[in-house]
Amino acid sequence: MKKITITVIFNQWGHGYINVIPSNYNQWNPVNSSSMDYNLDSGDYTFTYNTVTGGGGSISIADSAGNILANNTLATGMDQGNFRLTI
Amino acid sequence: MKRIAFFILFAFLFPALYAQQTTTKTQAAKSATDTVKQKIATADSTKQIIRTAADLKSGTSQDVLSSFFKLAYQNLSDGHRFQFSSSLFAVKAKTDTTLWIDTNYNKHVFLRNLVLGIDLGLDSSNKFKDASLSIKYALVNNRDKNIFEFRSNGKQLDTYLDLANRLYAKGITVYGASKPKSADYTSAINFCYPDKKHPKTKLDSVPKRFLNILDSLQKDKQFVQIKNFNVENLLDSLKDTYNTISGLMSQASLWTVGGQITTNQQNALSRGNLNTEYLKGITNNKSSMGLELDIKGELDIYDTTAVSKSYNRNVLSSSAGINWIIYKDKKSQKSYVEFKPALAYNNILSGQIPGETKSKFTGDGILRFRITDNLWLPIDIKYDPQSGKFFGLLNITSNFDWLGASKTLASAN
Repeated sequence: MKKITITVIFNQWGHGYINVIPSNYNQWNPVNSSSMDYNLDSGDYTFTYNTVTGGGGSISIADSAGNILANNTLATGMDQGNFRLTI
Repeated sequence: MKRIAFFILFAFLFPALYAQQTTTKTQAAKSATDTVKQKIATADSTKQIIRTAADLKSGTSQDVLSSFFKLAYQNLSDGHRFQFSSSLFAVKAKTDTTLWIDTNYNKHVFLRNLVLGIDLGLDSSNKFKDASLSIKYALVNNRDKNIFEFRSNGKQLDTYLDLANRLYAKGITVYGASKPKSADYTSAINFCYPDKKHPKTKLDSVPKRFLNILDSLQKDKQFVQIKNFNVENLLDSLKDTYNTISGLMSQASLWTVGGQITTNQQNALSRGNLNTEYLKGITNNKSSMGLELDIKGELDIYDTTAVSKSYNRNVLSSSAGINWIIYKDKKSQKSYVEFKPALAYNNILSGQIPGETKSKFTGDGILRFRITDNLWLPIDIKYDPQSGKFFGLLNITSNFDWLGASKTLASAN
């Protein structure tokens, strides 16, 4: 098992829908800037996000050592995207 | 000088006295239960929605009725003018943060719709010329009311978004479990969640098996609320809906009535003013420009002295203009450049000074540039029909709430 952390930051306000695939459909719905830890078995994963923000923001994925594995900026209004990582 | 001192005292003491009155309530709230703390936390999140709604308003709209505080400087041809105005809501919310909770915000219509202001005019030698107190009330304020229509529609939209994301995630998982080719799997993901690095897959390139999975899942009872949406552009449709709702806020009608009294070195009450203004958006809110109809009417009652003679003078003036939002961000709907040409009509009802024209039409305009979310640079452009010349006056206007935007990082673990 490896620990990864997804962090979303909303510049003004925002909420989002974050999915880690494959997983057990436990969609994470951050309502404010926040982070979530996942303990994952080694393998290929797809991380999808869909956000609604005022003022945009950012999303990043880091490993347990704090290394950023992937990141993206979030546009104001509705935005979405995906990351594919081998954990 | 006494008059200046009075007005300065009013400007600083009024918010302080008002704040003092509400401090007792706040202290009581602090010692109360966790329920109050929860309310404050809720207020924190809804505050951002209210702020964003204020950001969406045009510069002209903020001039007609300030959402929070407004500080303005005008460089006039014969001196300078400083203006400060504040909604009563902004003053009270400084100490009672629970006012930001949507239900409380909704209740306090009077506080939100009442704006008090003070002006100080200096002549070209920077000496006191005049000072004014003003009051304005919005009889119709559908722009603020719509914040919560946006919220309630937003809640429904959130439900759709939640289900759409669950549907896509489940679809990708089911499709991925069937061990598709890597390129097909990538096509499926980029079809659902395109971004700058991953362009959206065209519909005819999406694996048919993946589309069949989505169609099949959509018939499941857990997705009944989005069963009528087209699965092929689910998020695009929801994005359009979101943009439409947020754009509606900046289109709604606003009608204010107000009054102002002015004092100068000669007279304790040199001028009284009654005014009314109506503003309404008239264009498709999804475009990158916009038009607002702005109609104003004013009655000025002067006690003025000219060539050693006193005149009791009444002037009726009206203007009609179109505020052209030249550029607004299509995504955020924020206005950045505006120009408002207007045709004005002045009629001196009584107290006409010898040699003065009784009634006349004039043309003027205001060109505005938004420098930051809170700062506007309006340039008054006036046309003088007598000289046939145009001239411009640079102003600075700041609309702010004195609270700053919060960027908190809370753990959700």
